Amino acid sequence: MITARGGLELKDVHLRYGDAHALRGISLRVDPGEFVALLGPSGCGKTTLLRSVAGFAHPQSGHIYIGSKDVVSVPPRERNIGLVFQSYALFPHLTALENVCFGLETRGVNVAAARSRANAALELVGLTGFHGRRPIQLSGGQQQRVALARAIVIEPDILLLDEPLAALDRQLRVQMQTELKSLQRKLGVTTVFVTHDQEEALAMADRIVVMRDGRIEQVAPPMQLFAEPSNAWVGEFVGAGNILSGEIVVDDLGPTIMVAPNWRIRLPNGAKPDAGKALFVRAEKIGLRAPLDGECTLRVLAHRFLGVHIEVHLDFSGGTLRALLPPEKAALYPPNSHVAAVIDPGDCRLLTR
Amino acid sequence: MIESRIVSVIAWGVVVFLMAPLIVVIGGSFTESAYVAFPPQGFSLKWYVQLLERKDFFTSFKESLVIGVAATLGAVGLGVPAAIGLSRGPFWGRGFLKAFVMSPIVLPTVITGIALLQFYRMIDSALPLTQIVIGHIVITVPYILRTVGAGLQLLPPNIEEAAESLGAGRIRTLLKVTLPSIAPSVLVGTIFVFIISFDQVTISIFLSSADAMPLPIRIYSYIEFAIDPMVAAVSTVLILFSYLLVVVLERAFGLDRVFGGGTGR
Ligand SMILES: Nc1ncnc2c1ncn2[C@@H]1O[C@H](COP(=O)(O)OP(=O)(O)OP(=O)(O)O)[C@@H](O)[C@H]1O
Ligand SMILES: [Mg+2]
Repeated sequence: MITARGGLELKDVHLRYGDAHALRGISLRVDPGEFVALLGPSGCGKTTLLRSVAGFAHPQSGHIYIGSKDVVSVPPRERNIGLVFQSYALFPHLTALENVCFGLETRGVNVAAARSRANAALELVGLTGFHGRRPIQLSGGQQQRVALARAIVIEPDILLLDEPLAALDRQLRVQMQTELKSLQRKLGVTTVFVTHDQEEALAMADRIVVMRDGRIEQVAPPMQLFAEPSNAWVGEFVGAGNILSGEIVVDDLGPTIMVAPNWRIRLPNGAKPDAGKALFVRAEKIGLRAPLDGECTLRVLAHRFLGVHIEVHLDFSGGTLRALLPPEKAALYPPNSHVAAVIDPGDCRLLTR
Repeated sequence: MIESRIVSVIAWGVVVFLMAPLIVVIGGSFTESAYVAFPPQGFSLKWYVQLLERKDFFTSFKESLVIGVAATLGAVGLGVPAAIGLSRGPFWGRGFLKAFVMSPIVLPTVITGIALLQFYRMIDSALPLTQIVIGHIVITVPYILRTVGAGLQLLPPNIEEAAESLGAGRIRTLLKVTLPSIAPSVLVGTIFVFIISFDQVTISIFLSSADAMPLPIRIYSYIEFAIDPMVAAVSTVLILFSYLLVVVLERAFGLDRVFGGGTGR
């Protein structure tokens, strides 16, 4: 069994591809044994960050430490990193077992020892009885396991995974998420995991790093990220929250935000009513009811059935809203009906736009 | 049902179309007449006996084999590293270099032949076989670049980076990962090159002389004077030779895998 050998730290890493500024000052600490997920829209620099750590992309400035060693000028083959590519990158001419043995052979492990360690690694990822198969003869999920076994068998200091589950169907993906997570726990290896899928990040990571446009927007444990997004963009990106903007007006009830001429929402307690801020409220916290006279009404645009809930899309003079309702509630407000929204200030947060 | 019948009719039509000339040639080689006749008139092996007495044809056959093997080794030795370099090296001027090494495939072979002839005259070269081998290498390297280039493009992305992150250096990655994974396309290229060299006429006709005359040129110069059934006998021997070659390749590698797979997976 592997014990955590070291953490990972990036300090002010900048990387440009010609005009494209892929990383704009990334600073991040990953503790030994921690599982961190990188989450962000396409093109925000997740793969570039991973490739910088692995040594295949070369930052113009900044430092990358593995353990206590600055590895910026260390070639990839000396970094002792386990890397799983989105495409798996298995060697097509080698069998599953030979693929897993490859990294041991380069380290000078003798053939017999390499085989028994590779067998153990394949068993660990739940793949037995496929040793003699070539990658083409394996299913996507099996290939993914071989790639994982190949990466962990070398007992890497850091495990880097670039959307390793993206190619799998939903059922297998969920199963692999659980297995991958428990395997990572068992090995205690410091892990950075890239994903597009925020559910995946929420389910697996100790902490989530939200990236946007080459920068880190927020680093937080899943629950905290969900409950306390650090700004309006993160709020909208993670878990699809609603952002309501308007002028902040102080009346006899205290500070309010005027999201429409006839709709003011009280600010949450203790919120500092600065300009340039917006109100953030999660879709499942919005209630609907029949409108009263003179009240701001919202029109129901459409229903989107999501299984357990229905997402009700609404628009009004101040913008759009999404509410998440149980189906029997949503049925009361069919498309094109008019409703009023109920928002409890306690469920709201005032965020920087 | 009907569709599959139509397909098989067409397929058999193609087979007949391709086989008919071979049958005519093979049949004609056994004729007793002094001209190529099909169906053969009578049955005789006299044209084969006559062929056996022609030392010049035998020498040319040997020369063709030597040239074919040497040209194949040369084209593969130059073409495979070039293909890897052109697809992997991120260097400046790659587009130009690629166009340059591919140019013999676009340029009429006649022009390459004339250019080589002129060049050998200028340097006063006196290595008849080597001259032909070099000519064949020049025109066959593009075929290696094509097949191997395609093989490299079809490789799963990042396998070389995967090897490197597993601790392999450049050389090890090349020998243990890149080359073995493109082996099938190298093999396809090798077969192409040997075949192109073995029945090359255009280049060889400029470069051959009394000291070095590959078989196709020997046959060509023979039929300038006489078209008799001995030509059919040579052709039959060559057909047999190609057939044996195919059988050997089939036994060794499985032609389906070689020509069907391409990526080695
Ligand atoms: N080799 C390259 N040359 C030029 N630009 C590049 C290169 N690789 C990435 N980029 C650019 O850098 C930015 C970040 O790319 P990166 O691949 O890191 O994004 P990503 O977050 O992994 O996206 P995705 O989720 O789609 O995989 C993008 O704008 C991309 O166009
Ligand atoms: Mg990516």
